[in-house]
Amino acid sequence: MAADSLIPANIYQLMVEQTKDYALFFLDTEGRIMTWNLGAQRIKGYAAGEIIGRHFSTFYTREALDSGWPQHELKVAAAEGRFEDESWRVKKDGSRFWANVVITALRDETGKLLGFSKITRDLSERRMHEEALRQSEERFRLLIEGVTDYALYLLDPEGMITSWNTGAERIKGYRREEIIGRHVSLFYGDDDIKAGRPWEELATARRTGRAEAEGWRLKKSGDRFWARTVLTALHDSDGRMRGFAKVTQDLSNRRHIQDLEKAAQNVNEFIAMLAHELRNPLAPIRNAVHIMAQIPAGDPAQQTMRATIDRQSAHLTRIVDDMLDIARITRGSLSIDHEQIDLADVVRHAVETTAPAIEAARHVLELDLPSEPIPVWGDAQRLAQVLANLLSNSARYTPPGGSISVRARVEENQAVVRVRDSGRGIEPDMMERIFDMFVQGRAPLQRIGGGLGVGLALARRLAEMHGGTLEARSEGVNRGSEFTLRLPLESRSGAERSAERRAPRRPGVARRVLVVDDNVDAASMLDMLLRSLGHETRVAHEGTAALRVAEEFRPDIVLLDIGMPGIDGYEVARRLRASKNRPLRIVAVTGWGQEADRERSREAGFDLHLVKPVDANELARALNDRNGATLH
Amino acid sequence: MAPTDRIQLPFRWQFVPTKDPRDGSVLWTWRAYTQSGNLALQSTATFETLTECIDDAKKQGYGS
Repeated sequence: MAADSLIPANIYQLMVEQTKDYALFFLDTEGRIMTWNLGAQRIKGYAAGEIIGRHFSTFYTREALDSGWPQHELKVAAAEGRFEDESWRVKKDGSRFWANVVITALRDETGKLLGFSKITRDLSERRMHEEALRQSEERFRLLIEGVTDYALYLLDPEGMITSWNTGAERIKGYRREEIIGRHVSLFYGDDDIKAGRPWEELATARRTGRAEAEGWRLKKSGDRFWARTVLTALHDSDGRMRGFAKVTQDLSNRRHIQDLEKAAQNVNEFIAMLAHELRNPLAPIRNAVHIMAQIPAGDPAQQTMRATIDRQSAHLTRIVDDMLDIARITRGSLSIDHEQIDLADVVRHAVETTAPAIEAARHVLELDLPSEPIPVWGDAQRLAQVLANLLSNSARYTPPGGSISVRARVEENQAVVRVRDSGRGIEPDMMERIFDMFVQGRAPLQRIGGGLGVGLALARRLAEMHGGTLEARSEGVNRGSEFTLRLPLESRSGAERSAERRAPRRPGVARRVLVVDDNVDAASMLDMLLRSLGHETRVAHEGTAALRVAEEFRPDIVLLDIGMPGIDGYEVARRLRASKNRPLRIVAVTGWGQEADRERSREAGFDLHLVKPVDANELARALNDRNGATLH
Repeated sequence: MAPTDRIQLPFRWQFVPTKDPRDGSVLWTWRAYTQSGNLALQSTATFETLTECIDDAKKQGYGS
């Protein structure tokens, strides 16, 4: 070809000799260097005159020589035609470089081995970069591994865990070998799983590059911890999604502190509210007492003042009762009676109780009760307290002229009462919090109806103690609210219940009553109340006097305070029982109302345990139900 | 064939507490509205207790 004529005859020799980037040289069959090019001189540092004739093992490290590596290379190249290696070589100045070496066996037409060509490339720079990268990755791995405050781990595109650091092991409790390959949803609770939250977070990170979340997560032990998580999508240089990096921080302590701060804030607000609530009824009582002192007996205004005091002291009593209930709930000592009752009766009673508030606000009340009884097993007074709380809330939080409906039904073998109003409604974020202690649906300064913010907490707890539930629903602010009380239906027949309810009550009769209380005012008031009910009374202010008066007066009933200086009420009761002169009913009238206190009074010989303040109806029952059923 | 009887939808019963101006006590009356909101029946007397009021309403069909 014409082009061939332009190519010098010694072109291959020139190509080899003048190539600078590769060391190209010829070895004889024994490995001695027979040629040397510019590249070899540049890379290895020897001039042709210095190296030709020497064995190629000159370029090998001490370790390679000791293992016979040069001979091995020639042997393999001779046998297989080619040998390639990448390892350290030594320059003339003794320094090392990272070399890629290809040794090719050269044979004549008959196949006789003539020697070997050897091509060496200096890859030190590439090797240096690779090493730097490896070291960098190693440092990064150690850094990730060493982090103990955060769980740092990788997920594949489907959410399966592919790496796991020490922090993850510490926070979540799983060891690397037991968690790799499992799905990230393992750390989520049932509610989150049902809501599809883990997959939602993966989808968000896939779509936007990042998903942050805060919520409860599960440890291996099943314990929950409050976590803040950041999920980041990882892409390769081609933009393909390769998986996710997930960082999880355990914020349980911070959450706990926040909860404590919130609780402290609620308690502070509660104390402020309590002071306000106590002052409200006290002011009219003081005023009424003052006015009564100014006007003559028999003046019609006396009746009004007495009504005021009665109403306001009843309000104070309710506040104190609520406080006592809170204390009982806190101690877990709140107890309820268990008897068969008609829930419709309870509804009627609760409506009657709250009628003044409903009337005062000119609300319209719709009452929908079935003609048949709704039998439940429980404490009529406590259930009425639950419903009265719901009704008074409706009355307070519904603007004047609104409507309140109460509907009681049997639904799916449950007794269900719904209290609905057209009032201010409930903000969505308050829906569950309104059942927390000391929480109100509105900021304290905006409160319109008063109250301690404990009513709904008490109501829900009481519903639960009856095996029931209390739930709230509202379409939103100013769209009214609905509270639903559900209780288990009592299975006993209406006839059985009616027979029970027809049991005759004993009429009230005059009794001889001894009042024992070291609080002179309390004893005096009780004495006056008893006299007004037609009973004959005596009063004593300490134990020894009580025993002496009892001996002379021979009472039918002793109303006995327990906490008194000297001989306390327990001891007085024991001594009265020991005398056994005649049948005697001993009633504890005390501020101590826990179950343990009742147990102790029973052991001391008391027939009945009343907790102060005792209202007139309760006292009348205590005096008349001499052979009544439950004494404690 | 169309039914000959008119369909009787239940009334909505309201029990209304009102304050007795003489002594401030609460008295009760009842009203029955049709489902379309028209007043159909109402008590002719006032009652001192809700129970009495309900019993009177029952005579007119409440709860049946």
